[in-house]
Amino acid sequence: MLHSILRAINVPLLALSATNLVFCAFSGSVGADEFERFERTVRPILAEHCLECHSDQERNGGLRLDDPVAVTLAGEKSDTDSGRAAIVAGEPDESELLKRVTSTSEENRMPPDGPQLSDEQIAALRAWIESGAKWPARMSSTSGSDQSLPSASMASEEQLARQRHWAFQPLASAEQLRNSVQASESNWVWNEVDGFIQSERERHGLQVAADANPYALARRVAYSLTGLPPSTKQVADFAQAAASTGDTRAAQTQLVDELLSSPTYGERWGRHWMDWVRYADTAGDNSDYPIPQAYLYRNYVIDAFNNDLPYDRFLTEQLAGDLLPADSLDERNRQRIATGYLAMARRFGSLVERYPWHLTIEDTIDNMGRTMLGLTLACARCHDHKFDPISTRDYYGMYGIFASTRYPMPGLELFQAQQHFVPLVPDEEARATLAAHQSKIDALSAELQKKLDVCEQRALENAKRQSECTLDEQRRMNDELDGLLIKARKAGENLAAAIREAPSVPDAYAVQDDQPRDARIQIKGEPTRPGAQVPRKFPDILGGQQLDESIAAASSGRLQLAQWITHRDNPLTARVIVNRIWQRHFGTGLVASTSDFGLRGDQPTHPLLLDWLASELIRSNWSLKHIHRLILNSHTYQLSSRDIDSNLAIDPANRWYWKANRQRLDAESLRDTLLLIGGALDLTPQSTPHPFPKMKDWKFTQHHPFKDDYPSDKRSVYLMTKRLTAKPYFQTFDGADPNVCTSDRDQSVTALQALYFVNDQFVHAQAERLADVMVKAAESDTERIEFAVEKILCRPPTREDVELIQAHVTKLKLQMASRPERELWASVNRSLMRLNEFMYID
Amino acid sequence: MHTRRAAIRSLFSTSLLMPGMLSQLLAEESRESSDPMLPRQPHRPAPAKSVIFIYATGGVSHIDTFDPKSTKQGRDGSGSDRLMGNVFGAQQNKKCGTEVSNIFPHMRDVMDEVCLIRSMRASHFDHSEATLGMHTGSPTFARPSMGSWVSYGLGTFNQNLPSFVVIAPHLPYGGTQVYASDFLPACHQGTRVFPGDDPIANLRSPNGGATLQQAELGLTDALNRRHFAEREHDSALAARIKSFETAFQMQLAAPEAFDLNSEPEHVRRLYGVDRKVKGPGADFAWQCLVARRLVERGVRFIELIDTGSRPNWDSHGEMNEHAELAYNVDQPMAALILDLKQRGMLDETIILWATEFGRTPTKEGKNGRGHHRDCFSVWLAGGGFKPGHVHGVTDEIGKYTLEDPVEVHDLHATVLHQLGMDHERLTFRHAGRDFRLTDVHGRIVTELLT
Repeated sequence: MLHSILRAINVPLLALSATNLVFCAFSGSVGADEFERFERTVRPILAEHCLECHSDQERNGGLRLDDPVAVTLAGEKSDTDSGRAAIVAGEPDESELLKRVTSTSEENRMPPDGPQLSDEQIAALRAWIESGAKWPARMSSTSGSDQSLPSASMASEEQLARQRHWAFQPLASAEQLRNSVQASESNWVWNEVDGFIQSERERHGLQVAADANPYALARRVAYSLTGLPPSTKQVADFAQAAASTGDTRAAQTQLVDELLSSPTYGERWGRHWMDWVRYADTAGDNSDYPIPQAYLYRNYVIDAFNNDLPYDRFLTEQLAGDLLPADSLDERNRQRIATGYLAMARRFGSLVERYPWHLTIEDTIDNMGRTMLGLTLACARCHDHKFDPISTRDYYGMYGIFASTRYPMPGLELFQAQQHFVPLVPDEEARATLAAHQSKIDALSAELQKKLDVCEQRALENAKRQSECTLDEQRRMNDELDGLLIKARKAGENLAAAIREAPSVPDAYAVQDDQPRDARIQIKGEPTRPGAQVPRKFPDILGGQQLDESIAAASSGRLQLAQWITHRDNPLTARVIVNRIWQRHFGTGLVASTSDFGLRGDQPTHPLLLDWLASELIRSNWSLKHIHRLILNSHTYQLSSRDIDSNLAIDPANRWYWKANRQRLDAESLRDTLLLIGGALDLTPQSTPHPFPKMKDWKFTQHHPFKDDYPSDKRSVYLMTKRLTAKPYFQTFDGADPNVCTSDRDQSVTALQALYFVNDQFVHAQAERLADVMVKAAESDTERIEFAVEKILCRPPTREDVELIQAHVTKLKLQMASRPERELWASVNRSLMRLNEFMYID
Repeated sequence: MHTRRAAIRSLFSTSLLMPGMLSQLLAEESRESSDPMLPRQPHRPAPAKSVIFIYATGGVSHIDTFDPKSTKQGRDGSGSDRLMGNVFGAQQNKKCGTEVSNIFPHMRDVMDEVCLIRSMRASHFDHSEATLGMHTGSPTFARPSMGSWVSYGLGTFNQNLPSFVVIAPHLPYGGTQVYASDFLPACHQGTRVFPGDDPIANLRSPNGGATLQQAELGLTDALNRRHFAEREHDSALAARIKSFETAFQMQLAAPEAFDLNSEPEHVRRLYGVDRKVKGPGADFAWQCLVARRLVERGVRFIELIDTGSRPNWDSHGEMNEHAELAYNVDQPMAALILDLKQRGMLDETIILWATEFGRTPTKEGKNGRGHHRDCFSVWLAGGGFKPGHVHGVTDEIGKYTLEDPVEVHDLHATVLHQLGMDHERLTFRHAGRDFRLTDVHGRIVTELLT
């Protein structure tokens, strides 16, 4: 049970963060008697009760007790998460280990479950520490029978395996990549992508599918890049060019360029980015406060894609745009707006006086980890990551950066105003506008902050004393704290009222630097249990960079964080984004778990291709459009989605890309396409805020949360998205969850979807609008059928299509003789809109 | 799967059967192997097959309902004279002796069928968080709802109705997140149903013509099957062809399930469908009777939400609000227990009644109570839960649990257990982690089980 003891003790996190360890060898000269005594009385206790959680494998709380050099000693500041020394040689009463095994508090006791150590065992530990805690060096042990202790060498192998994990290795060298591409040249290969794909495909004995027909291909690439079907003219030109040259190669290159330069490209790929960064127009707190300014960030993202902003710059602006130099007000504003990415972190609850900032920061780190690095960093909030080499110290090293950042406050039930938004007018103008109110707001802010500090201090004290005092004392302490909290709430309400009275300037939902500070580890993720302070840093496995002293004193370190993330030696950033692009084009990633490149994630099917694309991204000055061109102009992308029977037995899931993957239209593409077919799609971007109620009128509470809806005929990317109340349509068709990084969209098939196609007003309306156009545009049945098929399916009808549809038309003409013609043709359109051919991209 | 498929194909390759029939067979085949909605075997044989989860929004006072306390006005630990006992009086059930307040007379009479927990502890002190905690196990980050987990784990019996139906005239705190499938496949999300004539969206044709609709679906089907013939290995395409048949059936099956006209007079009277009721929760008799009809028709998980985020049981200023709300739900809930019992369905159905937290033993405002996290009451009936049993003891004023505390994760683990699912094995891999309804917690409260 000692093993569990150590779970909370938290000694040094050895292997991966050895930087500030104090190595105080207990080993050295250990006499034979002491050795004997340790092996007989102490090691068995550690082995049986501690090591399950506190050895090299687990190191809970940063403590390991399987290796003497790992245990920090006497008088030195310990490196455990708690910041306390587990063992102080000669000082049992100063040793956290002894405190924990004798504690009766649920929070502190070790082992955490089951019976406590016996008095005899505790006495043995005490005696050992008293006599200097001598610990024979592991390797000198002669009692070879002691297999319950993982040996030092085994332990380091485990660590090595983690460090050797493919995703943490540098990208393959240019030479390696060149060699592997050269190995497979043939006529089939159009560009390097095909070389990598072909060699793996051949290695697995798979045949390659034929090329897709030009109609399927034009439709595929148009949806890939714009989320909309190709225009009738684009289809015709593409088909004609393919027919005249014999293949689609030249036509494809031209169409790809055309689509990449269309503003609809940024809307499509901006929407993908919004999936990953869980974009929403509300904050996600109890009352779901609206953020009228959020659209500025959305439009920033769309513009960034359209302008092919270098990806490293794109990330840097989102993490630290406010800290970059700017030549003009426009540039400054654009960069400020970019940090809306950080502002977009989820908000919680309703209270200003107990606002859980640690959760908002967790959400920030979680999203940054998944989206940019393909790592599940937030797992390390309460304990070292179970699978990946990410320690609690790594987590709080990044936490400090965001704790030194001032997030805007979008409003809460008990703070019904916006605060700390970032002005978009010149500073003097902002000052002048607010002049009459600023001193009052400052004073009230200071008052609130003072009260919040008092509450925090008291909460920490209470938490510390909780285990030692009686129930009555606890009640009294809690009541006192409640009283202080109410005072803070009142101060918050006063401040919010003052803010609502003040005039406002145009501003952005964005972040700024706050007082720079390093964070303390929160034991088990609980803010009321502060442990050791950790310098702001990048995870060890990715380099472990720390801030220079002068920077640490003057800034949050966000700019440095952005530099670490986008550093060309960081093996993850480029790989993760090219894999995301691949995934959205092919339906699966080269690494299937697109947001998890860690040890529990999937291995890459084509590691060299992944590295080649990542290298190309960096080489092209991080141009995402360059990556699109490489992928979309490859022969691999042109393949038909048809099956080859002999391949199915070998590779039914098409891991080796011998054909195209058929993909279901996502919710946005479906809605936009239906509107487009009906002639109702408004293609102008939304460049003004949604018609939210005015801030002065905000009274949203958890009882009456913000629930408005602002329908429009613009592209779906511009629809107002709420975090608490999802639109039924987007629930039905697997829309993104605006609360969390949506790595890829489900492609579910449900009866409720079918009901939508059968009976929904929206579908009927678009079918009728198209019918109106058809009836005017064409005279004969055949012409009208052609028109409908081309509009809905993006191809000319086959003879069988015409026959089947004509039979339906003829039947309806008898049944509906007295009805207007448009009803008959609307019926045809509805039938076509329900087709699998329409719903899936071949 | 491919071998079987090949077998079917070879069986027909020399026959004169229409190619359409072949693809239909293949479609059935791929549907069976991939349809997440088909009923699945649980981890272990178990008594319960379905769940009716009744959720009372706002925080029902345990002190004035299922854990009545006859506290006299007095002083609490903070020194102010604010203690207040049950304001409605209470009586015992004649068979099991369980005491219930007088605003739940019908429930009191069926307490011998009910397993009552008086020692629940809420996951949070505020509405939205505690509501999400009770539904998803997570008071903070968005996670799948309990109903979605059950649908994911067990599938459902009736393919013409959704597996997880939420009958909610109003949304509770937390909005649609309370019944969202989150990272679980979308087919497991709750389908929200509104009391009244149009319970499910898109059940009725906007242009009203069944013949026209059938003709259209016929054309779609013919074109779809031709398309499928060249893509016969794609089970998603087959499933989607089938989904239109299901949708067509649902247009018939769903209205029938929600139509109470065929219920005999004595049943309608039992539930109080035709009682005069007003205010929040007025549809509750309809909701309860429909719930029974849905369980009968093979819906796996049904949630009934009585009131929305406002007005509801959140009686900060006036406890008498509880009396009106109780009147609307008391008789229908008791009727549901009796009706299922009488039909022999209670053993296979878990009825779970819960709220987000209890209310303070001290007075707030004129005659109300605040939020109380440390203890409150929930109850279960049927599904192998001990009838007439009371679990957990609170102190004399209803402030702290003295014996057998139960956490939300424990409650979830126990419900899953009675459905045959091991809460530690019901997992879904998402973003690098195996997620569970019970996170890393949960103890099966065996003391509640027969």
